[in-house]
Parts: sequence; structure tokens; C-alpha cells
Amino acid sequence: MRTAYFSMSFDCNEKCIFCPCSEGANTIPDISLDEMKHCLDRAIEETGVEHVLLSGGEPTLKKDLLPFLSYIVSKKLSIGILSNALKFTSERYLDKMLEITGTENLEITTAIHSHIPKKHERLTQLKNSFAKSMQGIQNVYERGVKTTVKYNVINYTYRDLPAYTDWVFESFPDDVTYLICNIDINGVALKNKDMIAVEFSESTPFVEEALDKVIAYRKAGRRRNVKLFTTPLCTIDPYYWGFVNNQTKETLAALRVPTDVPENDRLFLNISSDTGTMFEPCRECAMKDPCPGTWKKTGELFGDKILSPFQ
Amino acid sequence: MKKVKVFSKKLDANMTIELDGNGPSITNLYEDKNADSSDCSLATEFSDRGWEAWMNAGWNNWGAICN
Repeated sequence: MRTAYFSMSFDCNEKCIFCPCSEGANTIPDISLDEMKHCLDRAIEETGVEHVLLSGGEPTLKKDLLPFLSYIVSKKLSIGILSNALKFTSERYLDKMLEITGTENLEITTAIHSHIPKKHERLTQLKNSFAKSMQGIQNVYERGVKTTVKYNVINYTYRDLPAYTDWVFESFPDDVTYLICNIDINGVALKNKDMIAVEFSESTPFVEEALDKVIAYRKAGRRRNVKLFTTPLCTIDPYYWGFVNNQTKETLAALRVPTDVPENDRLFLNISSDTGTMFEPCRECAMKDPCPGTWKKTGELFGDKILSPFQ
Repeated sequence: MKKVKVFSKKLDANMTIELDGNGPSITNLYEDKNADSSDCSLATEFSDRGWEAWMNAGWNNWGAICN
């Protein structure tokens, strides 16, 4: 599905130490409502966008979120919101939002960074954020919104991934989607790379163990949609390729996360993606087309040796 | 149709991947029509084709890309 990705505001109510935005990103002036509408109009006209993914920062902090949602709904597009769900602890706010969007064409994705509250909050640097995000997710789910829980592969927590997977199956109904994502090591994450960045060779055994658990749950009758993001096919055994999601080629970034180069921060459409099969070994790889590749920064940090092209 | 040979350590088996470029699901990639059954144990492993198709439902779907 052709997706327009909007970083609506760089303000956030958490201070995640793996955030891809640079420090001080929240001081960058927000894009105005008119600019967002103009962006979306162009995306629809030029690329036939069908889906809008709203991110940030934290998109629910953007005062123009509700009017922009109205505009998206008027264009008959489906909507995804990537949110820490803290704002959805307010049922009043959530219900007001759902009055605009309805629940049919909406998906809300929330990252829970660890099943251990202390670890989650070590990463978000916000006390009680685990319990609040879980309450927000519950409020969203109970209203019939398609709900997704997301795990980011981070050096600090990747060894916990198999246990985290058990926790997901114990804690959430089967119609809650489960994403496992490799992350963009930029901005604040880059500054904390020793705690954040992990090579595929180290994390993959834990990812595969987690997916073995998913397969076991499914064989036992559980039914959950599980996807693996920004994971090159050559870094994981073909047995697990069915989980690998290759959506990045369908995504059009309408606004870009801020970097340390302010002039590159702002608009617009058709900017080159920061993910993909863009590395030297990918050039001759026979699996280049179906492979999602990974983050550009991952290649810069760990070098091309992390990739093994197929002949 | 382009074919690529890959090896699965997990299955200890070679697999032939057929790439059709625009397949809606990577499920297609597991169809090893030219290999005898011993060369592609994946077909046996995923004998429940309905389950396999469900498992692969996420292929090419949209999703969140930010940290």
C-alpha cells in the first residue's frame, strides 16, 4: 500500500535514548497545518497515496493533529498513528479523536521497549511510562481500533526478545499485531550507540528464537500477525523469511526526521529513503528485489561485511 | 522467472527461490517446483498451506518505520 509518512512534530513527552531525532529537535518549528495539507495533496496527486502514517516526535502532542485527521478522512485515506499511547490514557481525548477517524480505517502502533517496566523506562527516561502506555494501548484496543505492539531491536534489550515474545502472547489478544523492528541509529540513538546499536550477527539468534516461539504458538492454535522490519534477507535464515516485511519501497516520506544538518530537516516529497538495499553487496545480490534492506546508518556503523549477497 | 538457490541452516536443506517480481506474498518463494522433496524440506515443514499463507500475510503490507 502506497504510504505517506509524516513526522508531524518533533516535540515528545518521552526522552528515548534511541530516538533517531537529534537533540534539540523539539525546538524545530512544526510544520503548519496548511503545509501538511499541501504535502498530502501532492502525495495523492503525484503518487496515488492510499495510506497516511503519522509519526513525530509524538504526533498526539501536535495541536493540529485532529484537524489534519479530519482532512485525511475527507480524502478517504486510511490512517496509521505511531504513538507512545500516553495521550490515549485520556479516554476523553481518545474518544474525541475517534469521532473524527472512526475505527475502521485506523491503526495505532505503540512501541513497548521491554516487558520489564524498569528497562522500558530506562529507555524512555519517563517514570511510569510503561504502565501508562499499556493503559493507552488497552483503551485503544477496547474501542475496536486495529492495534499493533512494536519491539525495537536495541543492544540494551535484544537478549530479552524471546521472553518479550512470550509476554506479548500472554498480554495481548491475538488480533494485536506484533512488529519486531531494527532501528535507525541517528540523532540521539547515535550518541548512545554503545547502548543502542547491535550487529545483526549478535541479534539474529535471539530474533530467530523469538520467531521459533511465534511458530510454536501458531502451531498450538494461536493466530497473531507478526512482522520483522528493516531486516535484510541475508541476515536471517530463509526459514524465517515469511516474517520479513518489505514495505519500505512502498513508503514515501513526506517529512523527514531532523538530523544534525538543519537544512536537510524540512520538507518534502520524493526524498531518498534512509532504508533499502543500498549497500555495495546488494548491487549484485540475486535477492535484492524482494529484500527490504536496512537502515543506511546501520551500514555506515558496521560496514558492508554484515551483508552476504546471494548469487 | 528468475530462480535463486539459497541454503537454510535451520532446515539443513537447499531451497530454490522463484522470483516473480510482484508476488503478493513471499509464500510463492517457497514453492520449489523443480526440486525433489528431499531437496526442499520447507515444503514439508509448511505442509499446512493455509497456515503458511496466514503467516506470510504481512509481506508487503505497510507498517511503521520510525524508531
